[in-house]
Formats: sequence, structure tokens, C-alpha cells
Amino acid sequence: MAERLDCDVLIIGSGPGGATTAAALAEAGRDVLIAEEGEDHHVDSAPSYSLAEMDQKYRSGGLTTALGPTNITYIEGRCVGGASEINAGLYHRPKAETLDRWARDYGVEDMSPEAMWPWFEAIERDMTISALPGGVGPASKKLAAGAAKLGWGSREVKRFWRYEETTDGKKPQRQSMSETMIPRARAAGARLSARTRVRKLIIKGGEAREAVGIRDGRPVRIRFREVFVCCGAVQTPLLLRRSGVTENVGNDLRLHPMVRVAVRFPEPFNDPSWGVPVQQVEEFKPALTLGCSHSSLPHIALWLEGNPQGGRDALLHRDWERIGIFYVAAVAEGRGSVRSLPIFDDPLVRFKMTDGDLKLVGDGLHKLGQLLFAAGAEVIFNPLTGGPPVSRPADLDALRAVQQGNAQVTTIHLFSSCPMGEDRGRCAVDSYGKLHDHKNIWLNDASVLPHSPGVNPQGTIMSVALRNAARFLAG
Amino acid sequence: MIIADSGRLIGAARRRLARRASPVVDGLTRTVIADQLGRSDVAGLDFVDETAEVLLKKLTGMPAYLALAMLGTTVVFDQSARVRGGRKFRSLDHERRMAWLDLWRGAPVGVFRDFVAFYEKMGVFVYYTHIEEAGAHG
Repeated sequence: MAERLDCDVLIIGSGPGGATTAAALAEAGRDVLIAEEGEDHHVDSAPSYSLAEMDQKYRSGGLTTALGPTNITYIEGRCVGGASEINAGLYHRPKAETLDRWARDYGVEDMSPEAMWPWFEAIERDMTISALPGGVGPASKKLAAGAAKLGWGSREVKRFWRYEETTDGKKPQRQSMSETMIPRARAAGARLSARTRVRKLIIKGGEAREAVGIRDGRPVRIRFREVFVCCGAVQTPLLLRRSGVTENVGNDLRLHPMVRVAVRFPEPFNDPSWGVPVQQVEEFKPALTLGCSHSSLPHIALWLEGNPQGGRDALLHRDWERIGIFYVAAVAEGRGSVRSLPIFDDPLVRFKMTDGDLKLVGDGLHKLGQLLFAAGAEVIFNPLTGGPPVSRPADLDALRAVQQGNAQVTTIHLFSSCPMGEDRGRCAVDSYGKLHDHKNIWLNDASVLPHSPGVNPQGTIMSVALRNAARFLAG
Repeated sequence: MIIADSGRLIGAARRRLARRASPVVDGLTRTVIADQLGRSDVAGLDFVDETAEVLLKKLTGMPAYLALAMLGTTVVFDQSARVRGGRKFRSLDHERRMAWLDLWRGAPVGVFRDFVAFYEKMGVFVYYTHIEEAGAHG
């Protein structure tokens, strides 16, 4: 016998889209139930980017892959708060031209910068977004110095982070959803049901009647009047397709492919406590972002692996304090798909980087190499399979040789699998997230962004979610 | 009901394959770590068993179709070493293990290359996580 739950509005997923929606609806007096598949861990329950965090908060322990000519390892949060619990929390507004393009190409109403900026301002007011109180760390300084020498713009990106004054100085606190929107929603009466996996919506005559799934290992059925599906760019189309909704669902997955590079400088600059570097090069956005990455010993070992330079362990032990990890992230023109499989619970995710994408990433690596040598780098450990280390600017062309399958490509930024807009030929939902041809199903997460935002997407996801929730409440 | 049954069947297949692959995962982990350290064996080293355990857990925790493929390939990798080395991979000496790994690393089939890359990258990541947690570096 399945357990039964009832609510006015069911929100499936508690990441930035779902949590923002839940807070807005609960504070407007709606009876909200949030169903979250993952556990309700404290935000500081595991060190950031650690193996323990991967096991606790990442789907499949972080080993999820979009298959294609170049396999792309992607990461999804699977816990209360979703990706906001595990990402760097970098906050951006997208460029105005990006919003204009979405409005034009997908027929999205009220998507102009003038229409959208107030929603971004609301998120900026609601959330604490801070610069690092003590100035940027050593890797960020390297990036800034290299960019300045080349005349390229770079800046510290503020983060969803708060710094409390304590007797021991400023104590940092991640402003993830479990620390912000979820408590707000609960304070306004929303119920949170963790360890609750909705597997399917029962839909009849274009109206969702019930959600069926598993709660704490036992069958559950949830009745509602309206449902928001906010499971992210992979799980949202999976749930819809499994529920029989397939039109423009899971066909247009976009992502920011990222390639990391280990780099050695002449002097020690790495430190286990340096956290997430926050500097990014602005010069080539939105097409390319150059930045610096978490660089603990295990991560350096990971990104050095496969490099033909011998004595990797000796290199690590002797030189790790002189090595940092930097990255190139690109706006890919390629696209992918999300499909449910007949007997498996997990989705089949595919993505194909185009020749243009490979060239763009190669150009990005070349630019990053220029910058790092300008910043004083000694050796760039070539991230391309079999490529020799690059120790002088004249050899940087080697980094352009990106081909299918010869680089380790990862991403945490996935979106657009159910794009919004009035173009019925390509959009799954209308301009405000309501599923076309359905009465009471809304999507409000990364899946509805029409295309790549070209910046860290959390701020855009939350702002769009707030806008769509307001529209929903306005009826 | 059908879904629940298929889930149970897949779970059972995954556990069965994991048991068969376990000694191979152990052998691959030892080989990868020894190679990373520039040694021919890992005798006396800490954290090697723990690394192999984590790798097996990571493999079985992958999306089911990937887990089945990776665990199955692990078993095939072990058995097929007989063709060249006369023995299963896990029974070869370090030099022959490295030769077998090199053959797969340079294979024209991408799946084989990805298989080796998984063990090498995850192996060193997990191993150095243990080293870092123990404060045994630097």
C-alpha cells in the first residue's frame, strides 16, 4: 500500500529553481510540498570538492557522463539544495545580448534586459552576494596579472557567500539553497520531503493528477493541484519523458564544456586552504571564460594523470605548491539529448561537440596559455592526450589541437533541455515555464533556459524562476 | 511491477559482476598506483586497499548501464590478457600488466582508452585523497 500525500502545489526538486519557486509560492500563502530525491545534509557536512562530498551530494558519486564522440563528465547535485550545495556559488548576470538573443530566437516574452533586470535585482537583494573579504587568492592574482599584461579585462566574480563577523575574524558561510530559500519556504509553511524520488507523473487529458515514486524506500503517491518540475536539465526531461511528455523535451540539451590545465610556476603559490579562486577573464565572454580552479593535491594528481612527463609522483611531491589548475569554459554550439531507457532508472545523456566547439576550446586553451606565460608560468602540462608539456610561448599552438576524444572535458553547467518560448517548433514550455498543451505542469529550473547563458548560471536560473513564479501567482 | 522487477534484476546483475570484478579492480588499482609512483609494486604502501575499495564502490554507483558496462569490461580486460600474456591480468607481473594497460591505452577503440583513463584518473584521485587526509604529503 503506497503512502499518500496531498498538497496544493508540488515542487519536485530543491535546487536553485525549485527552492526559489517554493519560497515565492509559500510566502504567497500556497500550500507547498517540496519533494527532493537526495538527503538533507548540512551545507558543511563534507569538505568542498572532496571525495566525501561527491559520495554525499553528487548524483552517482559524480560519475555521470554525456556520451558522444567526446565523452563529457557532468555533475548534478542530489541533495536538498541541489547544485547550490556543491558549486562555487559564482554570481553573474548574463550579458544583455544573450537575453535579447533568447527573446528573438525562441520567441520568449518579457525576456529583454529591461524586463529581466528587476528579477536579477530581486535575487541580489534576497541573497547575500559578496567579494572575498581579504582580497583574492594567489591563483586569482596570477590570472589577473597575466590578463593585465595582455591588456585583457578580468575581475573577481562575487559569490553567493556571506561573511559573519566573529571573535576569530570573518567566518564564511555558503549561501546555498539549504541556507536561504529552503528555510524561507519552510518558515512560510512549506513542507520538505527529502529522500523522495518522484518517478512519474500520472497525466490524463493534459492534466497531471498524481505523482508516483518512492519515499524512504517505500511507494508514495502525491496528489496536487499544480506541479512544478525543477529537477535540473537532465532529470526534468527524464521525468517528463517517463510520464509520456516528449514534445521538445530532452532534445536540445546545451552545456558549457570545460577543459582544465595544470600549470607550474617558478615559485610556490598553492596552499590547501586557498578554496575556490574567483577571478575570471572577461575579455572573451560569453563565448569563452578563462578562470582558475580548485587545486588541492588530489585534483592536481587527477589533472596531471595521462601527462607523458615521467615521475608524476615525484613531480607532485616536489612541486605541488608550484602547481595550480586553470580552465577554459566555452559556449558550445553543439547540442545533446536526454532519453529514458526501457529498463534502467538512469537517463541516457548524449552530447556532440561540433568542429566549431573543438576549435573554440583550442583557441581558449591557446589564449589561456598566453595569459599564463604572461603571468610567469614555467610549464603548461598539455591537457590533450599525448601532448608534450609546453614550456615556451612559441610552442603554444600545440594547445589548439583539440580533437574529438583527446581532451578530458567536464561540465557542471547544463541547461536548455526543455527550452521556454512561444516558438512551438522548438520550445517545450511557454515564455513563463508552463508546459505547452498541459493545464497544470510548470518547469522552473535550468532546463527552461533557451540556450547557454555564457556565465555561471545559478543567478539566471533563480531570476527566471522568481519571474515565472510571480507570473504563476498572478494567474 | 515490471519496473520493480527489472530494477531487482539489474541490481542482482550489478552485484554479481562487482564480485567477479573485485579482484581485477584491486589488481588494476595496484598497477596504476605503482606506475604513478614509479615503482614495480606497492608492497608496504598505505591506502592501496582503501583506494581499490573506493574504486569498486564508485564503479557500482555509476548509472546502471555504465556500471554494468564498466564492470563487464573489467572482467573482459582481465580474461583477455591471457591471449598475450598467457595469464589473467591480475596474475601477471608488473611489467606485463603495464604492457597490457599500454595496449588498451593506445587501442583504436575509444571505449578501451576510456576504460584505462577511468582507472588511472580515479585511482590517483582517490589515492591522493587518502594521502592528503593523512597529511602525508608535502
